[in-house]
Amino acid sequence: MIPTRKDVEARLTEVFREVFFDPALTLTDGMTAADVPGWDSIRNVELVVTIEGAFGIRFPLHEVAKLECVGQLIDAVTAHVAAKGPSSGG
Amino acid sequence: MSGRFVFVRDLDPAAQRACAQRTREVLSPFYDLFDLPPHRLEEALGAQFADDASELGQARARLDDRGELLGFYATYPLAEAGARQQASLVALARLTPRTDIFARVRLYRAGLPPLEDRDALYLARIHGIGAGSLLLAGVEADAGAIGASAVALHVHRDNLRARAFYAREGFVETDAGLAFTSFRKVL
Repeated sequence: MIPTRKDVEARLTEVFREVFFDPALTLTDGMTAADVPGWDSIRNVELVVTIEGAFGIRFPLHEVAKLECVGQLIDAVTAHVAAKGPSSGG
Repeated sequence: MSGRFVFVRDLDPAAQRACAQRTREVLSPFYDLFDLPPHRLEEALGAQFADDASELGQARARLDDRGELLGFYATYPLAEAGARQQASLVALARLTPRTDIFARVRLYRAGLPPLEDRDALYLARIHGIGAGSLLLAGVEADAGAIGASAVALHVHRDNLRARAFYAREGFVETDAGLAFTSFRKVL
Protein backbone atom coordinates (compact mmCIF):
# COMPACT_ATOMS: atom_id res chain seq x y z
CA MET A 1 0.00 0.00 0.00
CA ILE A 2 1.33 3.41 -0.96
CA PRO A 3 1.59 5.79 2.01
CA THR A 4 -0.68 8.81 1.92
CA ARG A 5 0.55 12.37 2.35
CA LYS A 6 -0.58 12.15 5.98
CA ASP A 7 1.44 8.95 6.50
CA VAL A 8 4.48 10.66 5.00
CA GLU A 9 4.02 13.69 7.24
CA ALA A 10 3.86 11.48 10.34
CA ARG A 11 7.07 9.61 9.42
CA LEU A 12 8.77 12.87 8.43
CA THR A 13 7.91 14.31 11.84
CA GLU A 14 9.83 11.43 13.43
CA VAL A 15 12.79 12.08 11.12
CA PHE A 16 12.83 15.80 11.91
CA ARG A 17 12.67 15.11 15.64
CA GLU A 18 15.62 12.75 15.33
CA VAL A 19 17.75 15.06 13.16
CA PHE A 20 17.06 18.19 15.20
CA PHE A 21 17.13 16.42 18.60
CA ASP A 22 13.74 17.94 19.39
CA PRO A 23 11.07 15.43 20.49
CA ALA A 24 8.40 18.13 20.51
CA LEU A 25 8.96 19.39 16.96
CA THR A 26 5.72 19.68 15.01
CA LEU A 27 5.67 20.16 11.26
CA THR A 28 3.49 22.58 9.32
CA ASP A 29 3.36 22.98 5.55
CA GLY A 30 4.59 26.56 5.70
CA MET A 31 7.55 25.83 7.98
CA THR A 32 10.93 26.80 6.50
CA ALA A 33 14.55 26.53 7.59
CA ALA A 34 14.23 29.97 9.18
CA ASP A 35 11.62 28.58 11.60
CA VAL A 36 13.74 25.74 12.96
CA PRO A 37 16.86 26.53 14.99
CA GLY A 38 19.91 24.82 13.52
CA TRP A 39 18.43 24.16 10.05
CA ASP A 40 21.42 25.29 8.00
CA SER A 41 22.79 23.90 4.73
CA ILE A 42 24.73 21.03 6.33
CA ARG A 43 21.75 20.07 8.50
CA ASN A 44 19.63 20.18 5.36
CA VAL A 45 21.92 17.61 3.74
CA GLU A 46 21.69 15.44 6.85
CA LEU A 47 17.92 15.76 6.70
CA VAL A 48 17.81 14.77 3.03
CA VAL A 49 20.05 11.74 3.52
CA THR A 50 18.10 10.64 6.62
CA ILE A 51 14.79 11.03 4.78
CA GLU A 52 16.16 9.00 1.86
CA GLY A 53 17.11 6.21 4.23
CA ALA A 54 13.80 6.32 6.10
CA PHE A 55 11.68 6.12 2.94
CA GLY A 56 13.98 4.14 0.67
CA ILE A 57 14.01 6.89 -1.95
CA ARG A 58 16.60 9.04 -3.74
CA PHE A 59 16.10 12.73 -4.44
CA PRO A 60 17.55 13.89 -7.75
CA LEU A 61 20.46 16.20 -6.86
CA HIS A 62 18.80 19.19 -8.54
CA GLU A 63 15.91 18.88 -6.06
CA VAL A 64 18.00 18.91 -2.91
CA ALA A 65 18.25 22.65 -2.31
CA LYS A 66 14.96 23.58 -3.93
CA LEU A 67 12.71 22.15 -1.24
CA GLU A 68 12.16 25.44 0.54
CA CYS A 69 9.38 24.57 2.96
CA VAL A 70 8.12 21.49 4.77
CA GLY A 71 4.99 21.35 2.60
CA GLN A 72 7.12 21.00 -0.54
CA LEU A 73 9.23 18.38 1.20
CA ILE A 74 6.16 16.32 2.15
CA ASP A 75 4.84 16.60 -1.43
CA ALA A 76 8.20 15.57 -2.90
CA VAL A 77 8.62 12.59 -0.58
CA THR A 78 5.02 11.51 -1.22
CA ALA A 79 5.64 11.69 -4.98
CA HIS A 80 8.92 9.76 -4.81
CA VAL A 81 7.41 7.07 -2.58
CA ALA A 82 4.46 6.72 -4.96
CA ALA A 83 6.81 6.53 -7.96
CA LYS A 84 8.75 3.78 -6.23
CA GLY A 85 5.61 1.69 -5.97
CA PRO A 86 3.87 -0.18 -3.16
CA SER A 87 6.24 -3.13 -2.73
CA SER A 88 8.98 -1.54 -0.65
CA GLY A 89 7.49 1.13 1.57
CA GLY A 90 9.78 2.99 3.99
CA MET B 1 48.58 27.79 -28.38
CA SER B 2 46.28 25.31 -30.02
CA GLY B 3 44.01 23.02 -28.08
CA ARG B 4 40.50 23.28 -26.82
CA PHE B 5 38.19 23.16 -23.82
CA VAL B 6 35.54 20.48 -23.52
CA PHE B 7 33.18 19.52 -20.73
CA VAL B 8 34.69 16.77 -18.59
CA ARG B 9 31.42 14.85 -18.95
CA ASP B 10 32.13 14.63 -22.71
CA LEU B 11 35.61 13.12 -22.30
CA ASP B 12 36.23 9.43 -22.85
CA PRO B 13 35.80 7.24 -19.72
CA ALA B 14 39.54 6.94 -19.06
CA ALA B 15 40.04 10.72 -19.14
CA GLN B 16 37.00 11.21 -16.91
CA ARG B 17 38.45 8.71 -14.44
CA ALA B 18 41.73 10.65 -14.51
CA CYS B 19 39.84 13.86 -13.71
CA ALA B 20 37.98 12.16 -10.87
CA GLN B 21 41.26 10.87 -9.46
CA ARG B 22 42.88 14.32 -9.64
CA THR B 23 39.79 15.89 -8.07
CA ARG B 24 40.12 13.54 -5.12
CA GLU B 25 43.83 14.25 -4.81
CA VAL B 26 43.63 18.01 -5.16
CA LEU B 27 41.04 18.30 -2.38
CA SER B 28 42.04 15.33 -0.27
CA PRO B 29 41.54 17.13 3.09
CA PHE B 30 37.86 17.35 2.22
CA TYR B 31 37.32 14.02 0.48
CA ASP B 32 39.26 12.12 3.15
CA LEU B 33 36.51 13.09 5.59
CA PHE B 34 34.24 10.54 3.97
CA ASP B 35 36.43 7.50 4.63
CA LEU B 36 35.62 5.93 1.28
CA PRO B 37 37.97 3.67 -0.69
CA PRO B 38 39.63 5.78 -3.44
CA HIS B 39 37.96 3.88 -6.29
CA ARG B 40 34.51 4.31 -4.73
CA LEU B 41 35.07 8.01 -4.16
CA GLU B 42 36.35 8.48 -7.70
CA GLU B 43 33.31 6.67 -9.08
CA ALA B 44 31.06 9.04 -7.12
CA LEU B 45 33.02 12.08 -8.31
CA GLY B 46 32.85 10.79 -11.87
CA ALA B 47 29.06 10.63 -11.58
CA GLN B 48 29.05 14.25 -10.48
CA PHE B 49 30.66 15.35 -13.75
CA ALA B 50 27.48 14.16 -15.46
CA ASP B 51 25.07 15.83 -13.03
CA ASP B 52 24.60 19.51 -13.71
CA ALA B 53 23.23 20.11 -10.21
CA SER B 54 26.55 19.14 -8.61
CA GLU B 55 29.68 21.19 -8.01
CA LEU B 56 31.43 19.33 -10.84
CA GLY B 57 28.62 19.41 -13.40
CA GLN B 58 30.16 22.29 -15.36
CA ALA B 59 33.76 21.08 -15.11
CA ARG B 60 35.80 21.76 -18.24
CA ALA B 61 38.96 20.06 -19.42
CA ARG B 62 41.73 21.52 -21.55
CA LEU B 63 43.04 19.24 -24.24
CA ASP B 64 46.21 19.86 -26.22
CA ASP B 65 46.30 19.75 -30.01
CA ARG B 66 46.73 15.96 -29.88
CA GLY B 67 43.70 15.57 -27.66
CA GLU B 68 45.72 14.83 -24.50
CA LEU B 69 44.35 16.06 -21.20
CA LEU B 70 46.30 19.05 -19.85
CA GLY B 71 44.11 19.88 -16.90
CA PHE B 72 40.62 20.83 -15.91
CA TYR B 73 38.62 23.16 -13.72
CA ALA B 74 35.16 23.36 -12.21
CA THR B 75 33.32 26.65 -11.78
CA TYR B 76 29.82 27.86 -11.07
CA PRO B 77 28.21 31.19 -10.24
CA LEU B 78 28.82 31.94 -6.57
CA ALA B 79 25.08 32.45 -6.15
CA GLU B 80 24.69 28.71 -6.91
CA ALA B 81 27.31 27.62 -4.37
CA GLY B 82 24.86 26.71 -1.63
CA ALA B 83 22.69 24.53 -3.85
CA ARG B 84 25.58 22.85 -5.69
CA GLN B 85 27.58 22.17 -2.54
CA GLN B 86 24.53 20.65 -0.87
CA ALA B 87 23.87 18.46 -3.89
CA SER B 88 27.46 17.21 -4.00
CA LEU B 89 27.51 16.62 -0.27
CA VAL B 90 24.32 14.56 -0.48
CA ALA B 91 25.89 12.40 -3.20
CA LEU B 92 28.91 11.62 -0.98
CA ALA B 93 27.09 11.45 2.35
CA ARG B 94 24.87 8.69 0.92
CA LEU B 95 27.95 6.52 0.51
CA THR B 96 29.93 7.20 3.65
CA PRO B 97 29.94 4.66 6.45
CA ARG B 98 30.69 7.35 9.03
CA THR B 99 27.91 8.47 11.33
CA ASP B 100 29.76 11.65 12.31
CA ILE B 101 30.22 12.88 8.76
CA PHE B 102 28.11 16.00 9.19
CA ALA B 103 30.02 17.13 12.27
CA ARG B 104 33.27 16.56 10.35
CA VAL B 105 32.06 18.55 7.35
CA ARG B 106 30.87 21.33 9.64
CA LEU B 107 34.31 21.57 11.22
CA TYR B 108 35.96 21.61 7.78
CA ARG B 109 33.65 24.33 6.52
CA ALA B 110 34.42 26.45 9.59
CA GLY B 111 37.88 26.91 8.07
CA LEU B 112 36.50 28.57 4.92
CA PRO B 113 36.17 32.34 4.95
CA PRO B 114 32.82 33.45 3.49
CA LEU B 115 32.74 34.95 0.01
CA GLU B 116 30.61 38.03 -0.48
CA ASP B 117 30.69 38.62 -4.26
CA ARG B 118 27.32 37.16 -5.15
CA ASP B 119 27.77 37.90 -8.85
CA ALA B 120 31.25 36.34 -9.02
CA LEU B 121 32.14 33.06 -10.68
CA TYR B 122 33.45 30.59 -8.10
CA LEU B 123 36.46 28.51 -9.05
CA ALA B 124 35.75 25.35 -7.06
CA ARG B 125 38.46 23.01 -8.42
CA ILE B 126 41.44 23.34 -10.70
CA HIS B 127 44.14 20.90 -11.61
CA GLY B 128 46.75 20.90 -14.34
CA ILE B 129 50.49 20.80 -14.03
CA GLY B 130 51.97 23.60 -16.08
CA ALA B 131 48.66 24.60 -17.60
CA GLY B 132 47.50 26.89 -14.81
CA SER B 133 47.52 30.11 -16.83
CA LEU B 134 45.81 28.43 -19.74
CA LEU B 135 43.11 27.06 -17.48
CA LEU B 136 42.61 30.41 -15.77
CA ALA B 137 42.16 32.05 -19.17
CA GLY B 138 39.29 29.62 -19.72
CA VAL B 139 37.86 30.41 -16.29
CA GLU B 140 37.95 34.15 -17.00
CA ALA B 141 36.39 33.69 -20.42
CA ASP B 142 33.56 31.71 -18.82
CA ALA B 143 33.12 34.40 -16.18
CA GLY B 144 32.90 37.04 -18.90
CA ALA B 145 30.39 34.95 -20.84
CA ILE B 146 27.92 34.94 -17.93
CA GLY B 147 28.57 38.58 -16.98
CA ALA B 148 30.30 37.78 -13.69
CA SER B 149 32.08 40.72 -12.08
CA ALA B 150 34.92 38.68 -10.60
CA VAL B 151 36.40 35.23 -10.12
CA ALA B 152 36.61 34.06 -6.49
CA LEU B 153 38.20 31.00 -4.94
CA HIS B 154 39.49 29.42 -1.76
CA VAL B 155 42.96 27.99 -1.35
CA HIS B 156 44.49 26.16 1.59
CA ARG B 157 46.60 28.54 3.65
CA ASP B 158 49.51 26.09 3.65
CA ASN B 159 49.53 25.89 -0.15
CA LEU B 160 52.13 28.59 -0.68
CA ARG B 161 52.75 27.55 -4.28
CA ALA B 162 49.11 28.04 -5.19
CA ARG B 163 48.90 31.32 -3.30
CA ALA B 164 51.93 32.65 -5.18
CA PHE B 165 50.42 31.46 -8.47
CA TYR B 166 47.13 33.29 -7.93
CA ALA B 167 48.96 36.44 -6.83
CA ARG B 168 51.01 36.31 -10.06
CA GLU B 169 47.81 35.91 -12.04
CA GLY B 170 46.35 39.11 -10.65
CA PHE B 171 44.24 37.69 -7.83
CA VAL B 172 44.07 39.56 -4.54
CA GLU B 173 43.87 37.79 -1.20
CA THR B 174 40.61 38.95 0.35
CA ASP B 175 40.14 37.09 3.58
CA ALA B 176 41.78 34.47 5.74
CA GLY B 177 39.88 31.74 7.53
CA LEU B 178 41.13 29.06 9.91
CA ALA B 179 42.45 26.75 7.22
CA PHE B 180 41.74 28.50 3.94
CA THR B 181 42.17 31.94 2.48
CA SER B 182 40.10 33.50 -0.28
CA PHE B 183 41.26 35.17 -3.46
CA ARG B 184 39.38 37.33 -5.92
CA LYS B 185 40.12 38.83 -9.29
CA VAL B 186 37.94 41.61 -10.60
CA LEU B 187 37.33 41.31 -14.32
